[in-house]
Amino acid sequence: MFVEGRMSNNEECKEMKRTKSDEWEVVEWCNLPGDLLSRIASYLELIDFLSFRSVCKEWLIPPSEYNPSGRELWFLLYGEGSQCSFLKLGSQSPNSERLYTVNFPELDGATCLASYLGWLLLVQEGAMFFFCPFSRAKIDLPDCPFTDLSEHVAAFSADPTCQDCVVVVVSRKSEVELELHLLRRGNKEWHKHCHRCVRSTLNTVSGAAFSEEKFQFLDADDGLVTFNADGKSSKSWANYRIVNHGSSKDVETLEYHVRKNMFGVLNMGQRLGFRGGEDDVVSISICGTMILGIQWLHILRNDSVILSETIVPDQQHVALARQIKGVWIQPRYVQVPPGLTW
Amino acid sequence: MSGISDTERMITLKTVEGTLFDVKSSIAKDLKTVQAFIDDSDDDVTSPIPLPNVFTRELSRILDYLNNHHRFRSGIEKADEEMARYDAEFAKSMSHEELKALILAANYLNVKDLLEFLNQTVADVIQNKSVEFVRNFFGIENDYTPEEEEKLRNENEWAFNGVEQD
Repeated sequence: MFVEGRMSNNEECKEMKRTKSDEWEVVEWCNLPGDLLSRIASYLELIDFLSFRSVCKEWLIPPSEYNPSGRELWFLLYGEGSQCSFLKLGSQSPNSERLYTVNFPELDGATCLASYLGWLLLVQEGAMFFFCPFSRAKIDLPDCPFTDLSEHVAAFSADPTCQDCVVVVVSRKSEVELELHLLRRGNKEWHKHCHRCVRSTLNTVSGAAFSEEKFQFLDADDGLVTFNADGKSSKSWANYRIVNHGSSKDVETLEYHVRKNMFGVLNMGQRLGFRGGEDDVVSISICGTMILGIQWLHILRNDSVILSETIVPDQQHVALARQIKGVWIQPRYVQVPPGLTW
Repeated sequence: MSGISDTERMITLKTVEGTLFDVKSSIAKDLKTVQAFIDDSDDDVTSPIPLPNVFTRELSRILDYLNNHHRFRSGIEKADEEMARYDAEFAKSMSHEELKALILAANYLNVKDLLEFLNQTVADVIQNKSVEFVRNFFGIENDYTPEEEEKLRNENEWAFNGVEQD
């Protein structure tokens, strides 16, 4: 296959770049072309990407150019001051599961309402804000009209740095009515929308997501209510029941899977180091999320909505239980352009 | 030369050192930069195509990789295992200097599959390793000032714990 032509005398092989003056120039690892570096970095998980940036100045890739092809799943445990546990679930490579202890003052006394695209929507002492725990980026929201958020679930339509991001907060106002508060980026005020909806249609809201241009609200009993926020359609709300498989013409396809009880399914108690038993009783209030499919994790291979849930200890231990909170999150390293406001 | 099918046509490539390589046009298609050059030429390309950024050692390796992968793909079943074994050997056989040279050549020639494989190989080296290890392995000098490095670490201090020092 290889033809032997004129052979050069093989001296020290220097990579030659055709510069304007035809100079010899050695290309070192530290000055690989930028696009090559970005592509190599995209094969790295977030933690390794952070190390990568610290190697040398040329390897300080702007976070916007980090587009990982693999997907990760993390879980953040918080609620006891600012000290949090941050768990990276293991991927294909063995021993890649890691539990980090992190100090996040932003989470001290806060409650997470939504998690999406690496951002958390949090409420802390009456103030609402977006927070990315990986980059510590923070975006404050205008006044939050909510006092009690125990029964509320929220979702947002896009990355909060996007011009047209919309936030909705939903709760069941009564046995027959759902109440939705909506905030568009750029507006300073929340708007309220109500929907007559009995419990048999949608029980306690335990999941919220944005998919196919609509907000989607789910309960744990296969109920689904969608809300179209663009204000153009005459009918904003629609009720559905999620079925495995339908033959009638009234069936539409759901673009994501719904996952319940993920905390138990993935054996998170053990992963987080809970000993169990009488001296380690916990009650965990967990915020769900919408995630992009993760190839290596069979149960979450497709785009999925993980429902919010509360882990309660046995009746006899309830009074002693530590009250902590958790949230599922997929990592992104987002930086907010200076001066960005809502 | 009419009457000869595309897959039999041979393309001649010339490296920096002047070595000539005869390549089947079906293999040359995977060298997207070369293919674009051929597509852009009005006449049939008969004279050797010069590759000013590619050395003999790299082109030889790239063609070896492509020939083997073509062979694996067109053969009988069970080629996946053989291909994986070949890939592992291929990656191991190179020093990191040779790996770097090969990535640059594959990037210049735009050999998509090989480039993905090589990028993954580099990422595998970096995975779970400390910043110091990566610097030593790739022979990179730290050009951050102590203050700059401190600032970077502090931004995500928690992330730098629990990483292998090996």
